[in-house]
Amino acid sequence: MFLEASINIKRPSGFQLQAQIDIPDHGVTALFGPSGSGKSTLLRLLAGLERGVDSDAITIMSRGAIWQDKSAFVPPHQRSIGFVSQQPQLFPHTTVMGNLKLAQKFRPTQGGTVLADVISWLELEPLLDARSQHLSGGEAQRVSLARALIGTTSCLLMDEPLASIDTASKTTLLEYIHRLSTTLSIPIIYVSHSLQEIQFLADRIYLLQNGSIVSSGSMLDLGNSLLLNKDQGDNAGSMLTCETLDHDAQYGLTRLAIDQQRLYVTGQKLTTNTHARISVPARDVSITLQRPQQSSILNILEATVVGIEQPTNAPSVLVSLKLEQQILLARITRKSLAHLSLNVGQRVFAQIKSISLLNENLLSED
Amino acid sequence: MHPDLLALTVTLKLAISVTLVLALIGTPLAWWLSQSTSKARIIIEPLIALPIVLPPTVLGFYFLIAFAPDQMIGGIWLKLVGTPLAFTFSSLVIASCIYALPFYIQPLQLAFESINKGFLEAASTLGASPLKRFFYLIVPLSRRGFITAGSLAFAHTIGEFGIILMIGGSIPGETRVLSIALFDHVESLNYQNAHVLALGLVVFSFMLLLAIYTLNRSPQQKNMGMH
Repeated sequence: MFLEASINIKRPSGFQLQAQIDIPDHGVTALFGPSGSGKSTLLRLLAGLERGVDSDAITIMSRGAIWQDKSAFVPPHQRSIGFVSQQPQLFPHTTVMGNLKLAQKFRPTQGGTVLADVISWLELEPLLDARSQHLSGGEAQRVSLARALIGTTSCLLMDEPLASIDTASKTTLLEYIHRLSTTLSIPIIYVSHSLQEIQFLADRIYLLQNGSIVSSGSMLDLGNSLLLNKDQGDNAGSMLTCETLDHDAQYGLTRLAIDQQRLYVTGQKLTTNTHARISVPARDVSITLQRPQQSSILNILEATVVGIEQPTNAPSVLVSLKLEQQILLARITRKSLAHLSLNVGQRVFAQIKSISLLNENLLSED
Repeated sequence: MHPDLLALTVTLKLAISVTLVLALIGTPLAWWLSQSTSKARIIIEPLIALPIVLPPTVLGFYFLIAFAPDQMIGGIWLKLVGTPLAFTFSSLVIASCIYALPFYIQPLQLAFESINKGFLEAASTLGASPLKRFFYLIVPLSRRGFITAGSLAFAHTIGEFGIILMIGGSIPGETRVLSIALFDHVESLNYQNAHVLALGLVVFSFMLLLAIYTLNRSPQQKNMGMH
């Protein structure tokens, strides 16, 4: 374990945070939940940016060393962490390079990631002489990420790093972070309220609500669950792992294998026999009881109903469908639910209207 | 040396000493005031500001009493240094430091308060110790504050009169500063020398202020320390 923490704090406002978390040595652990759920506070406590008051019970251990307990407190500058917050917080009195150099000066002899590496990983060469005020939000956040990595030997903590940048830059930065998470040998703790980001990046999830952890588990178990998706409205959806098979040049389609079944994605020529990750919005999945014979929809998967969201006043419900291993979510109306009289265990067919491919780096050059 | 030149040297020596002492003592005090949530601030802040509103002669009167060898401060000084404190250059430095303190503290405290806390948090997660944060971040980000604080303290010491008149006397080479020399010239109706000193002080003060305003307006410093 990289980190074991047990936290029980109470604020004068009445807010209470109770959490036990374990962060393994590798991969991305996500702290996910709505705003006000305590996920950012939890991250700031792990970083040492907040330390609670005397009546709070906080124990944080990292690889056997105490970071905080009743009597001890290691300040953030001695934890060798990288921290990226919602605002890039680039130092305004110097350039991008100046910011990176300062980070190097702050942590001169502890090893970890070096300056030249972060510049090439995050493709910062063209920005080095710019002042932070002249960078776009996305660029500034990329520099902030680079700066946080220099000399970091223990872990990378990210607090809603994409929350205040435009949508186009978000996708680019997500790709960078995903690539880093596979390159770096240190664990990443990622805080977000965006399900898409979490599904794209995380290996493990802690779900927080009102200051406590309501569920935790691997991405595979929890990522596409009703629990995580039920309050997400149009953002509810599933993330699935596929294998690329071949490309049909005549129709411009690529064939994917998913849990022994086949899917087509359009317009893209992919490297074959690699893992691809796709995202399927729940509202673009519909359910039929018989396999449709004459339909314009190409992607139809056979699945078993494994869960149905408790109906509320809302006109629609989420239905959880199991392929072989992976879960696909469908959003259908309450009327359809009654009409089809769906039950857990029933075999159905899922028609998928749209799929987006997430690993853009799989696109081959030619 | 011409007595007026000697007075000029004493004045400059005093202003430089006061500015240096304030940089050492006033800077941490300004930082503490800018960050502290302690209740003691309620008392300490107006106490520091007191010299702005008090007539210098009031301060000078109390210093005169406190610096006497049979009083606490004067007594401690006598024990430590071996010579009396009253009517010495050192007594001028101590009194001037207290008199100039608010002019040093206030601009600096304001500059420290306007530093975005996020920068300091970022620096601490980047591995910067409090001392490194101070020298690599706080100092460059509050550059304007330091320039204003330093030059105000310096200029106020140059222009000081009332306190020095009360505690320093007019000992050439020791406590006779420009403003006292000017006063002496006027007293003895020596208007020509008085004109030279008076005009000299006006020109000097103007040049100093001009330099501060120019430095603080340098285009590179735009958005400094702001959010």
